[in-house]
Order: sequence, then C-alpha cells, then structure tokens
Amino acid sequence: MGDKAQKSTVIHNQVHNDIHNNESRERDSLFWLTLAFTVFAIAPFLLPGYFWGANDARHHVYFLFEFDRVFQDGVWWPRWSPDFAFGYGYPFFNIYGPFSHFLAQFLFRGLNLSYTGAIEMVFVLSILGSAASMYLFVRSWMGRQAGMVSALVYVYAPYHLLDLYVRANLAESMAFVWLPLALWTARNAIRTQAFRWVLGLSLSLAGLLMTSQLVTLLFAPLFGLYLLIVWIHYTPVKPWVDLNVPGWTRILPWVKSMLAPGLGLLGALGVSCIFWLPMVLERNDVRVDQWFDGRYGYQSNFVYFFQLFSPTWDFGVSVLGPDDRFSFQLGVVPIILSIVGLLLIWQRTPQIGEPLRWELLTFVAVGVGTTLVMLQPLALLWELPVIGGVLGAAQFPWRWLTPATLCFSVLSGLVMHPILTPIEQKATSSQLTFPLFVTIAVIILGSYPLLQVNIIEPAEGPVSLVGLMRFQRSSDELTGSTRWVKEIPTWSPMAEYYESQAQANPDGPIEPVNSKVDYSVLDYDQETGFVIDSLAHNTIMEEVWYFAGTDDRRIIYEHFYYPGWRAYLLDGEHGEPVEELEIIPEEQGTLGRMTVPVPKGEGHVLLRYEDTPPRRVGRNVSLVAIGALLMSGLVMSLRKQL
Amino acid sequence: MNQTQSSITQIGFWAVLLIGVFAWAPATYPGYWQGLEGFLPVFNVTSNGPVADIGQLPDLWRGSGRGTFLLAQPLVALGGGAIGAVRLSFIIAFILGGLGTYIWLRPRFGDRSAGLAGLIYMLMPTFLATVYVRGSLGDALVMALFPVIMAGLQLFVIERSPSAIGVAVLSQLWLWRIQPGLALFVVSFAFLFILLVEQDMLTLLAIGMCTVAGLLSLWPYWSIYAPSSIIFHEHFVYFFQLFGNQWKVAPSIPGWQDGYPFQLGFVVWGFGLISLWAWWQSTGQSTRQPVGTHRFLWFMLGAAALLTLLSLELSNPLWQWSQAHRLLTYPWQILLIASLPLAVLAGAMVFLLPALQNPAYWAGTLAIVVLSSHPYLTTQFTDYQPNERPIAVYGARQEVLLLEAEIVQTEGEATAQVEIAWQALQPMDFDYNVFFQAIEDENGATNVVAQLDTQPVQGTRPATSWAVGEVITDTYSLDLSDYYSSGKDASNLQYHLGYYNWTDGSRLMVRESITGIHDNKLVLYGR
Repeated sequence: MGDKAQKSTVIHNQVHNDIHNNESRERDSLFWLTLAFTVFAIAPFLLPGYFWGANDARHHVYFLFEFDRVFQDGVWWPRWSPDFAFGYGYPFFNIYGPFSHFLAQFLFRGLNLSYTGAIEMVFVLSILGSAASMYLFVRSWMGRQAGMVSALVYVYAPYHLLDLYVRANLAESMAFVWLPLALWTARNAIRTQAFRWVLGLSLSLAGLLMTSQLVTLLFAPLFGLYLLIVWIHYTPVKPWVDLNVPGWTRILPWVKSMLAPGLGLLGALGVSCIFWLPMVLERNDVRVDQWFDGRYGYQSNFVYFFQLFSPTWDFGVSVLGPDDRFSFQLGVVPIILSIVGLLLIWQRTPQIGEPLRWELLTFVAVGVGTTLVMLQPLALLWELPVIGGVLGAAQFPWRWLTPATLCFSVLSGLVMHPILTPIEQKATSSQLTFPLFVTIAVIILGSYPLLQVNIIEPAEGPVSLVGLMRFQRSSDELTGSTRWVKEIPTWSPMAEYYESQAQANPDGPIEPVNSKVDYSVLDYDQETGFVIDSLAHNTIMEEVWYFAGTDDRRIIYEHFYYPGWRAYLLDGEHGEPVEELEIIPEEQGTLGRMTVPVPKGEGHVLLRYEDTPPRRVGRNVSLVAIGALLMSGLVMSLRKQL
Repeated sequence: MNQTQSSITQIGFWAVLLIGVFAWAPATYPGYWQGLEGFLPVFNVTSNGPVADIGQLPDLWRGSGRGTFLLAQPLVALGGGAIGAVRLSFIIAFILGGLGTYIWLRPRFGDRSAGLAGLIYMLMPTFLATVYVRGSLGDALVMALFPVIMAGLQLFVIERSPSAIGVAVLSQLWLWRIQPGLALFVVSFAFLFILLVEQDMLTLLAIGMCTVAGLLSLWPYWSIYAPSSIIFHEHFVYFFQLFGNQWKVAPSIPGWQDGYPFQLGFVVWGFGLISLWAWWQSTGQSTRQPVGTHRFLWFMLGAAALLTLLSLELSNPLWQWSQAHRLLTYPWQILLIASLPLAVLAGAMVFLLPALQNPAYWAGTLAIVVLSSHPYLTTQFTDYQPNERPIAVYGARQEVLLLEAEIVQTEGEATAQVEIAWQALQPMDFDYNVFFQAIEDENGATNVVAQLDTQPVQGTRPATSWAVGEVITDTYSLDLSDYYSSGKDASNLQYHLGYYNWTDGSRLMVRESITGIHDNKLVLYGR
C-alpha cells in the first residue's frame, strides 16, 4: 500500500470515527433542532378548519369514519367498510394498508380528537417521523450535520409537500417515515449483525407494508439494490478474494452475514402477514379496472421533462397533457445540494472509501433512474414483461417521485459531509454552524411558497353518513366494488334513507340503517308468502327472523358479495349456528348482492363477516412472528445482562 | 495546472452544465410559447432573405439576420420541425451563455466563482425574458455569443491559443449576421475590455480586423432599412423597474406602467453589492488580489453602470446625439449587454469572499441563484402547431399574423365556413370587426353573395383584448342557400377575409405571405 492510499485510509477511518463518536453521544441537540425546524411544514395543519380542498383529504376522513364504525362494533382489525359504494360495502382495509388509520383511530378515540383533527394529526406525525428517520439514517454514515440537511430536504421536498398538502395522501405521507428507517436498520443489520437491528428492520418494513403496499413496491428496487451493495461492501469476508480457500469456507461466512437482514425480512413478512396474505389472495375478488384503465392508464400520465423543473404549484388533480397544473418538480434545493455534494465528494473518492462511494452510487442510480422512467421517452420500458410489471405498480409514472425524492434527500446531505468540513470547523461538526444554518435557511425558504393548504368548507356538509353518500355521488369516489358487481351503482336505498333523514332534519343526527335486507321481496300470502324481520344489525352482521312459504325463497342483502361473508341458520333468536347456508351472489341485476336461500318454514338467519382462511393464517402468523421477536429480544437482553 | 487542480476546476463547469438545466427546461415543452414575437422565429427559419422579413419589417441593424437561424436550419434540413429546431437553438443559447461566462472568468476568478457567474448569467431575468417573454431568438443568441467571444479573447490573451481566437473570431462574425445593432455594442465592449484591462495589442488587432470583416459582410445589405414602429425614446426604463418583481408576458409600452419585466434580479443586486463591499474591504487589507483584478473589476463596474444608465431616460440626449437609437428597437435592449458585466460582478462574490467557497455556502449561493429566478421559469405555453408559413400578415405595423385560414364549402348545408387562427404581434388600438364575404365574379363584375361582419369570437374577444403572442381561433360561417338554390356553381366563389374599422369602414392592410400581394383583404378560395 502506497503512502497516498495509507493516508486516505487514515482519513477515512478518522471520519468514520468522528461519525461514530458523534452518533454514540447521548444528547443529540441537532436531532431535536431538526424536528423543531419541521414546524413550517406542520403549521398549515394547525390552521383552523380542514383542508377539504386537497385531493384525498375527504377520503381519509371517511376512511377513518368507516374504520371507527366497524371498530365500534368490536372488530379490532376492520376489513369491511359497510357504507362505501353507497352502503353496499367494500372490503377497503382488506386491500389497503391500514396503519395510518389505526393511528388515526387511536388519536380519534384515545385523545378524543375530531375526525379531521385525527387525520391532520397523523399528517403531522408523518412529518415529524420522516424527519426523524431520515436524520437517523444519514447521521449513521455522514454525521449529524448531513443528517439534519437530508432530513429537512426530505421534509421540504416538493413531492413530499405535494403528498401532504395537495394530494393529502395519508398512506404515502406516512410511508415517508418508514423508508429511511428500513434503509438504516438494514444497513446496520448487515454491518453489526445485532438483534436490535433485526428487530428494527422487521418493524420498519412491516410498518411500510401495512402503511402502503404501493410505496413498498416503489421502494423495493432501491431497497434490494442498497441491501446488495451494503452486503458486498461491508461484509468483512469476500469470497471472491482468496480463491485458493475451499469454496464453502469462503462462501459460508459471507452468506452468514446475510442472516441478520434475512431474519429482518422474514420478521417483517411475518409481522405484516395479517395484512398482506389476505390482500394478495383476495385482491382478485375486487374490481380494479376502474383504477387502471382510461384516464388512470399510465400511458397518458408520463411526466414531461420541463415539469421536473417547473415552478408550477397548484391545487387540484393531475390532468393529462403538458399543461397540467399539478406539480412534478424535483425541487431546486434537493437538485442543487445533490449535484454540488456529489461533485465535491467525488473529488475525494479515495478519502471517502470504496463502500461509501458505492452507497452513493446506488442513490444516484436509483434517483436518476426513477426520474427517467417517469418520462415519455422511456415509455418502452413500461411495456417490457418484468420491468414493466414493476414500473406499472406505480399506476401513475409520477409516483416514482417517491424513491427519487428519497435518493435526492440522502444525496443532499453530502454538502455537510465531515470530509468536506474545513479542519477548523471539525470541533463544531455536531453543532449548528453558520454554513449549516445557511443551508437550512435555503432549504426552508426554497419551499416556503409551497407551504399552504386549501381550506374550504365541505360541499357535502359535516362528516356523517349523508355526507359520505353525497361525496360519493358528487365525486364518483369510494365506489369500489367486488368482482361480482357488473355495474357500479350511482345511488342506493341506504343513501336515499340517509338523504331523507337529512332533508327532514338538516341539523339532526343521521342514524345508520337498522337493516340491510331488501324487503321488496316480501310476500304476505299466508300459504306461500315470505316474511323477514331484522332482529339485530351492525356493520358486519345481521340476524333476521323469516317465514318462507315455499322452499325457493331467498333473503337478499344490500351488500356486495365478497369472501368472508357467511350465513348460518340459528337454533333460535340469538342462538347458535346449526347449519351454514349458501350465499349466492345475485345472478340477475348488476349489483352482485348477496342472496341466501332459506329452508321452507320459519327460522333465524345470521349473516356475518368473518375471517377467511388466508385472514386466519395471516393473523396467526403475525402473532407468532411478534411473539418470536419479543421472545428473542428478551433472550438477547437477558444474555447481555448475564 | 496539476491533475487535482484540473479536476477541481470541473466542479464549476459541471454545476453550470447540470444546474443550468433550470434555465432551459421550459424550452422542452412539447409545443411553443406565446411570446411577444409569436411564431416569427419559427416562420423565419426557412426564409431566404438576408434579414428576417416574415411578420416583421426587415431592417439591417434592428432586425434578425440570417445568422439567427444558423443553428436551426441544419436541424430543419435534416427533417426536424422548425419549432423543435428553434427551441433547441434557445437551449443552446442558454448553455453557450453559461459556459462562455464560466470559461471567460475561470482563469481570473477560479472555478467556483466562475461557475456561480455562469449560472447567474443563464438565469438572469433579462436572459429569461428575452427567451420566454419575447421569444427573440436573435437577441438570445447575442446573449449567448457575447460571453463566448469574451472567453475566446481571454484565453487567447493568456495562452495565445489559436483555437481560442478562432472561436472568438467566428463568434464575432456570426454575431454581425445575427443583429448588427447589438453586435456593435458587444464588439465595443470587447474592444474596450482588451484595451483597458488586458492591454494586448494582438488581440485588439484581431477584434479590429474582425469588426471590419463583419461590417464588410453587411455591405451588400446596407440599404435594408425600415422605419421602426416603436418610438425609441418612449421606452426608456424607469429606475425602479430595475428592481421590480413582476413577471408576465406583456409588450413594452411607454410609461412607468410598462408590464414587460425589466428587473435585473435579486441576485445581481444582492450578490453584486456584496461583491463591491468585499472588494472595497479587500483594498484596505494586506491580502493582495492577483494582478489586474482591480482593473478588471473597475472595468466591469464601469461597463455595468454605463450600460444600465443607457437604458434610463437620462441617457436620451446621448442616444439622440449619437444617433445610436438607430441600432436598437428599444433602449432597454442595452440591458442585454449590461447583463454580462452585472453577472460577472455578482459572481465575483465568491472570489472576493473566499469563505463562501465552503461547500455549504457555495451550494447555498447556487440555490439562491436558481430560487430567485425560479418563479420566472414558466411562460404562456401553447400546443398549437403552425404551418411552415403564416397565411398573411395584417396591419401596417405587422399587427396580426393569420396562422391558418381554411374555407370549407358544404353544398348539403349550403354554407361556407372559414376556420381561422391568428396571433397578435402588436397591441391592437381599436376593436376591429372581422369581415368575411363570399364574392361572385361574373364577367369581371364582382357581386357580394353573402357576408358576415362581426366582432371576433362572438364578441367575446374584441381586438383590444388580444394579448400579444396569444393564439386565438374562431370559425365564421356564411349562408349560401340563396346562391345554391339559384343553381350556380360554388366553385366560382372567392372569399374575402379581413379586419375593418367599423366607425369609418377603413380596412387593415394585409400582406399575403407566399405571394407577397398587398391588399385590404385576403382572398381565399373554397374547396
């Protein structure tokens, strides 16, 4: 090794020691200052009123509304949303990551916040969480000042703000929390093989999966590549170096070094199994054509190059063509800090060391790559068999701005990398130096004009069942259906019932329907008639008494059919099930409602939404995984103490 | 220069190249923009005259010479569309301007300061307004070649590099064929710079010879003159306008309420003042600047101040006395020349305050440069695709370009319909009516068969509401049922289309683009 190389190694080690020493100190004032500086992003959520003018702001309020309705009926893991699709119901949380709404539900009931207050609070927590997680990730390999810069760039990146204020996409905003956490824990799991990082990796990936499966898919290429790079470069054993040693002795330790992240991944899949297993196996029973065809097709939603740099910022949904007022900008500050940081750090390649260089290259490649795939000239990639499948998961090409934003935020921290810090400032590298202050000011001021929300009054009135119905009718949103539905309804008897209540008493409460049986089939003929009376009803069950004069009578429920709904003949009122009855999705008509053929005579029928085998397996696997992680943690902790 | 220094010098270069994308990204819009010159650069790409004459009165000194389209023509010849070729020319103009500034200043100020200046120049409001507000390809190329010439001359002074002087000479000759009026100012600046700052006789000789060659090349076209429709002395800039922040596509009008953006930008003033302060501070300190720095800065300060003053009304007597107003359409065009020394002074901040070379500070200053111009990096886009040439130009001042006019006769419906698209090139002073007539020519005698007189777009867009550069479309229909019912052949009909003053019946003159016919109406034939 030459003098130059030795010197580089010494500098490299010094820098890493600095970072490590900084990281291990107990009090990290810059961390708290970073959180404090997110106040400008949080402030718009503290305005009186609610940002009903944002794209999905209403959706999340009504997601919570439904979540709570089912939760109030004793279901701790709601999967069915009874009032979506005008009351015909939809298995929303069976296919949509529920984490954000679990959190919102906790805030709604636990802290007694309003529906809108709880949703806004989750947005606020997502901002704080994303800043904290990015800080921790970048601090671990570039130091505190870089961590602060990356964290604030991450929070104030235009696409992140778009998700918060314009799209009001709660799940994707919350996903911003998990992405750096997953990278941080994966990196440390490989480097240290310590159990706490395995646990961290499991929880962060599980959190991500249960927050947004879409972002999980967008994140997967970056995560996989990053894992591979860190594995190759941070594992002490290199099986390709000394080829004279027998193969297995070379390869085994190398493979073993993947044990910790492998366990982390397994743990993540285990913990989140309650969500993803049913989601994967029962997703095909939901119609998705309305979300992927026509206006939602990726073909017409590519981003134009100039839009990546355009200052355009407006509220409203994305429209087709280059005159879209929806912003796709990458952000002035993230781009400039990334470019300058990279240019400067690249000159010092020998000093930063090979592993760091490869880590940076990963973020450059993914940042640039994901930016390019959003553009029309690379539309060809979207048509390819495998790559097209991965890219198409985004639905809209511009959703790849999520990993791009993550990468450029990480790279932005490079301008404050300790190796670029002048020697005289080394001692203050964990403090708020003036260059750091200037950088922070530029980051925040760069996005300052974007820090606004569109607070308006909800056109459909206060949050209520009638509000939900009106919203669905006016927007054609929240009208997803199951695969047995031939035509998506535009109104329903339930909606009519709520509307009539509101008309009769505009300021009064809106009571939910007390039965979802279609009584139009009743026949009062004493011999051959068919009479039904609802005895008990809530969001996921209904018990009825019936009399059927013939054996071809069916009870029709105003519910879309979906796996999990089961019907039983009871041994009396509120009795025990004695026989399972077949549920037949309506053959006639377009709604795919559930019909239950009943035996001739009198009886009691219970219709109930239950766990299917995938849901049961998923739940049990999750319980086992959580138990295993807890037990392992306990054992590790005890071993440490001993 | 050793290898390390060499790689360090690339940072500013790459910063200009990569971050400069913000300046030219709007030009990648898949269409064009409704600038004050409208589609004129697009139409003139393929015209053959020595000075662009479609939609503008050709004038040797103020007009756009053939050189304006030198970059675009090969692309058009290769099969690319004229719009794409013009957009690419604008993009190249930005990149040339930024890199030229960087290369010029790097030997004197170092990499980071030169990089900052290059980026400032690319994103100066004057440059952005020239491209995205005016859509003036000629002026944009002047701004591009100006620093390239300075870079070539500077490198020749330092290294005696033949390629450097070659670039400078070729750029200068090219400049003379783009816009001789502005070229004269550029050459004067370069001449004085070499004379007073570099004091290099060989370079002076090169500039002199090149100037003579450039002027001689214009000799055959000396007579191309057209009176300007703009009253020069009414368009001086008000001092406060140099500090403004409004930005819109609006033509320059006399008076202080002019909507055209004249601001020099926050960075020019902010960084420039800091540079001057730091320079002043450094004169009293022991740290000495490299030889010639003071002379250089004095020259830039003087040039920037003088050229900026020339855009203000107090300089009017000088313009009148020297007859230099003959060289430009507007006095504020001189700000395009002032932009370079102003960018140099602002970019010198990092050189004069070396602490700002700290990565965070430098990145911060670059970010401020982009952020301060970011709101201006959009314009009034249009996806309208014009034909190769406009159909006609209306008005003595070339007020309106008729982009498209197609007559459709429908015998079944007994109508004749014209679909037209037009673009105003000047603010309209009167709400002209549109006339659309079907004329029958019988043995030399003309007879009006049907006619329509109306305000444009069902009265919703009177002419005075047309924004300069805006593309407006409309359809007019004539009822020919009487004509058809008389059994006559509609193929004999011709149609007259034009604008007239409804108070006195006078019509706007029209010049047909292809035939060059001057008349008070446009004659069209149906199909």
